[in-house]
Amino acid sequence: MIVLDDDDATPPFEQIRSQLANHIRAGTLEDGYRLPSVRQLAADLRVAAGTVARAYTALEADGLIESSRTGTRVRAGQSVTAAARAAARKFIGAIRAEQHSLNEALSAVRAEWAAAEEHDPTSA
Amino acid sequence: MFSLLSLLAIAAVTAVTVWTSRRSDAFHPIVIDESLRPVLQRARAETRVRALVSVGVSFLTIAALWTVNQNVPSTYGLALMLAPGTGAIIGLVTFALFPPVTVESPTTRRQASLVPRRPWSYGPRWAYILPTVAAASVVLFAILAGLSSRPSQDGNYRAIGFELDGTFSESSPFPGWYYGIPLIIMTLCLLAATLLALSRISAAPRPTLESLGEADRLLRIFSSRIVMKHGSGALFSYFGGVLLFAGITTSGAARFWNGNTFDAVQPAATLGVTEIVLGLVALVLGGSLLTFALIDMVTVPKFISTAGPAAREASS
Repeated sequence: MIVLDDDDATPPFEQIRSQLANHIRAGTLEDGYRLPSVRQLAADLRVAAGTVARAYTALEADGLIESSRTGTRVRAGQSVTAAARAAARKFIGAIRAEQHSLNEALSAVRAEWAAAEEHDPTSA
Repeated sequence: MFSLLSLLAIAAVTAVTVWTSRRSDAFHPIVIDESLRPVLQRARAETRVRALVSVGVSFLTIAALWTVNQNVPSTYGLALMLAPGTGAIIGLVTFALFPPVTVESPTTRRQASLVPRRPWSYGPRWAYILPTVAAASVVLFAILAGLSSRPSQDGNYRAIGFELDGTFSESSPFPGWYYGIPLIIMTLCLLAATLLALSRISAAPRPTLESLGEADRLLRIFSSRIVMKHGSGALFSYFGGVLLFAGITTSGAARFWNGNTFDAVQPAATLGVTEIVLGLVALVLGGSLLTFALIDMVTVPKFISTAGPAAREASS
């Protein structure tokens, strides 16, 4: 399911791209899963076909999906591992216990990620 | 005429019997929020009008071709044979030309499913495979009948003949090339028109509110059912008629009077009887499907408001 919120300042194409990327990385859209056509998704979300096409193009550039004559499918091996998801759940539990928001949690992850890369650039 | 009335009576009895006994997921009433009632009632009315106009146009086309058949005998029944299929083609194209039925709900948060919709997404697989196989059978039969046919006295390939001990017997109207080529073209057009109508149903935008999703799915199931019954009903009706005439003429031409009894040319005589039986079965099936399509039109999904006592009863 994709949700498009007009009250959100994020551009519609980015809302679509990020939600699809999340579904693919979380494994809810399995390897080889066929995505709806650009026309179908655009009609259902009441946006121009170009908006969905732009999101699909960005996802293809990121290597998450691939297009062929038979349609657009999720590329194999794009979801995170079960261990990584378990670690994320543990982190969410800890961060919620501290009453932090999702954005604050993501900021913390980005900061620690950058620090880890600085410390050991080959680990990323 | 008596046979035709008998067939229609059998079709009607079968239809009513099955209708009263069927318990399909598509027929369960949906409980909705009172505020959504006007939106769904409008979509429901549009679904019904679309189907009624489509079937109405079909009947008008059939009536027109029936009149042509009555007034232009030189067509040798071709207009009558084409009537059910042409009626369905024009009816289904009319259905496809209607604006898509959408369950619209103004909101700033819009949801979309990530499940691709296909023309055959709203029915069981066999409901699409069976008519496709039947259509392929029509084309194959038309080719085989065409190859078996011979020119009749008017020069058209619409007769079949056999020879036994130097005696020749011929019977007409047999579905040779004169009827077969239009039959093949009509069958292909009917397949295309059915696919077009189903594509229009599946391509219509889904409601932006997920709570309307189930009601939207039911309306699509109903439209798909009517389209498939309309198309398949017409297909089986004209195929039944063609088989019946093929059987009657083949049986007639394959029997020779030897002065005391009839001698039959085999396996043509047996094949003729088989065609008659299959033709009658196809006619009953076609009539039943068309009757079901009409019944479906008056039983478009019912939505029960959460404010009403019926809704409380259904949800309890």
